[in-house]
Amino acid sequence: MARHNALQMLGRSGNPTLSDNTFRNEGATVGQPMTLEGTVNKTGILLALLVLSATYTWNLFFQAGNPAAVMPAAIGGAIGGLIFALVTIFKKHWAGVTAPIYALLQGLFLGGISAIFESQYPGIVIQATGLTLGTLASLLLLYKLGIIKPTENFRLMIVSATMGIGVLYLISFVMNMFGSAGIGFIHSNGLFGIGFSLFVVAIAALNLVLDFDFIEQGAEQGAPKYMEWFGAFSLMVTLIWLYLEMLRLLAKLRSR
Amino acid sequence: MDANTIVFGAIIVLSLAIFFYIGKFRASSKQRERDDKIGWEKSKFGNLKLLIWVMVSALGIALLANSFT
Repeated sequence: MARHNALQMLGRSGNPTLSDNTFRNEGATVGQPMTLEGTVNKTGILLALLVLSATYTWNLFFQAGNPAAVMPAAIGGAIGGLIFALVTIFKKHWAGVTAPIYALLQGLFLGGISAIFESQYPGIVIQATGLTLGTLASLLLLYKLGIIKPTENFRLMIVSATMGIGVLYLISFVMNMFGSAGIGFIHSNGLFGIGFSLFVVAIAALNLVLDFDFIEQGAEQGAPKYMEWFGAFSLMVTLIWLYLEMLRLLAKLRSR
Repeated sequence: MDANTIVFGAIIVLSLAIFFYIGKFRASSKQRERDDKIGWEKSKFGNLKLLIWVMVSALGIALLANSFT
């Protein structure tokens, strides 16, 4: 009963994939509960799947030598990934199936985009990957040691900033649709554009802290085993966003 | 192999090693035994947040696609 109550107490992280109902209504844990080790291992599986499919579009680009060759697979992967992400969010107990498919599809997208960036700025992909994973490891250490302490105010700040970025992207997109150049500084390589990218990278990185806290509390409260897949999926969503923003930031710096 | 690959390759390997090792341990008591932990039962934004996430994802994809077409 105590465990059931504890499950009812858990809800939402800063990562939008983790909703207020994430652990709620799951009932008492039947069988083995969610563990930190299981979540970390499943994150490893998702990362491996992502790299595997990314290799396909990466090779496809460098064999063909033009972006048009990878665009169908990359865009298809992005749209498919979005669909499977939504399915995973609404049907958390399917995460064991949908999260690996999501990783494979996102890999197609990331492989294609990364290859295009690499052809324009050689060496940029390994830099973006290193910085993304370096940020992951650093923030994990800071979180585990209790140096970064996620509080309600911290969550409020990160969620608000994430929403602000979303609204800005939306405005830029709508302006583009009407033939305007959009919000220039988002894509510019000037100081303002680089400052904006740094801000977005910081917000994406701090979302990782909320993911860690959510996973830690899920494991502590004995959430169902399939939540390991869901926790790993949430971490992947944030990592993919962080990686893309790192690519954009580095591209801006290199194009100056 | 150039210096860029060696340096960032080493960062990748080290970071993955840290993640897969440290990630399996519980956070320090300093982190777990706080009075100001996030109250996960409270949802400040509900479904609006999900909507924003979908918009950001879709638009991010569109913006990136636009950049290369």
